[in-house]
Amino acid sequence: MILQVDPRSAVPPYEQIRVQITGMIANGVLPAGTRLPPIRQLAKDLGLAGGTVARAYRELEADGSIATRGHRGSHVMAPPEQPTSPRVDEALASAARAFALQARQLGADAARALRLAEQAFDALET
Amino acid sequence: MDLAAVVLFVLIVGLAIFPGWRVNDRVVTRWARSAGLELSAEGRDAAARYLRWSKRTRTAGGLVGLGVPYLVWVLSGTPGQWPFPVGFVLLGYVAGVLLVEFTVHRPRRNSGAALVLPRRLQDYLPTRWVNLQRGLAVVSVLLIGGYAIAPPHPYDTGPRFDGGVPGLVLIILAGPVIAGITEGLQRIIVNRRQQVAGSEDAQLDDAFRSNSVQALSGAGLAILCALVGSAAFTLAGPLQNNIAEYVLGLTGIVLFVATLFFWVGMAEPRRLRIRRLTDSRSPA
Repeated sequence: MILQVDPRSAVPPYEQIRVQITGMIANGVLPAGTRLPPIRQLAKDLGLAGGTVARAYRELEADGSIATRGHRGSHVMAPPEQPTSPRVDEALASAARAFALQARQLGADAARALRLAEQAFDALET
Repeated sequence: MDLAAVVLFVLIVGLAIFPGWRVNDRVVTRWARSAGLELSAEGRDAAARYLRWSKRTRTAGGLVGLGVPYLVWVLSGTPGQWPFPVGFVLLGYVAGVLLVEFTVHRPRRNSGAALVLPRRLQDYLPTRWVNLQRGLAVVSVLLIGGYAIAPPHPYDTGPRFDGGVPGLVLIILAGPVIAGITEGLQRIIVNRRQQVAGSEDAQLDDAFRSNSVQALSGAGLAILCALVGSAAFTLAGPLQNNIAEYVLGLTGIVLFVATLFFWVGMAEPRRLRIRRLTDSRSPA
């Protein structure tokens, strides 16, 4: 339910938002019909430009993950049949490559980096 | 020292030593329960800080609203009785609510995290109170407008409204303006940036917002009830109709009681509305 954007990440913020919302929809955290925050509100909360969140929402609309109906705002559509779409796999692979590269540049081995990644996943659950 | 000065002095000293000032564990637990929250030690500290400052700023604001008009009255040498400034007391109280909302209690800064749930006014304030704010504004226009066009009472002397037509327009618009400002401030509080690092932060922040929004609603409704109550009493005379006189008089009395009910009752609401993270479904 909590969206986290890391400004230092190699993955662009709009993509971080898109991937996380897609994950929440796939996991059932955001069921079909759930209303998403307005672009301006989410951008303000995350400290991002409105255009960044707007782009994430556009991508999610193109995926068929959400629908926007004028002033009634954006809401979640029913999740796709497949647990992960090729687009999500592609984005995850891209994020993983950036993470691995950053970990290597910081001198961390794979075990340490993966342990920290797991901790980050655990933190998202709480 | 006149009676007004004695009243002011007793109020200031009385409120300074009033036991209800103290925010202890029991007060924090009761407040958290009203929002359905189980707080960690850190959360309890944040809640205690918010509640402590909330009481201080609201009371100080109310006292400033009471004291400043008194000083102006004394210094200007205006003859007659001291006009007890209920409106100014409520305005000072509202300033206290806003001060604590915008300055005191946000524990996290620039966390880069946000809840994927919209914030809407009805998430923090029952819709019936929003409708009542709007409804009282409409009723005030009708009653004051009715008084303006009612035939003069035989005992009426002098002008019906000070300031002529501009004065009349100002009084007629008072209700809608008060309701509009109240709702506008409530929406600003709801929409302002929420910085969170976890679920507890978000729910605590929601509870603070709900507390401020409900306190504002209480003050706004109190001012509107006082306005409509006065209008009902004033209109009762010129109508010269027994039934209408009784109905409007009774309405005025009920609304004056309601003024206190809303102001005091909603200052510390028994139930705080917050967004539930587990039940995210909302109508699309």
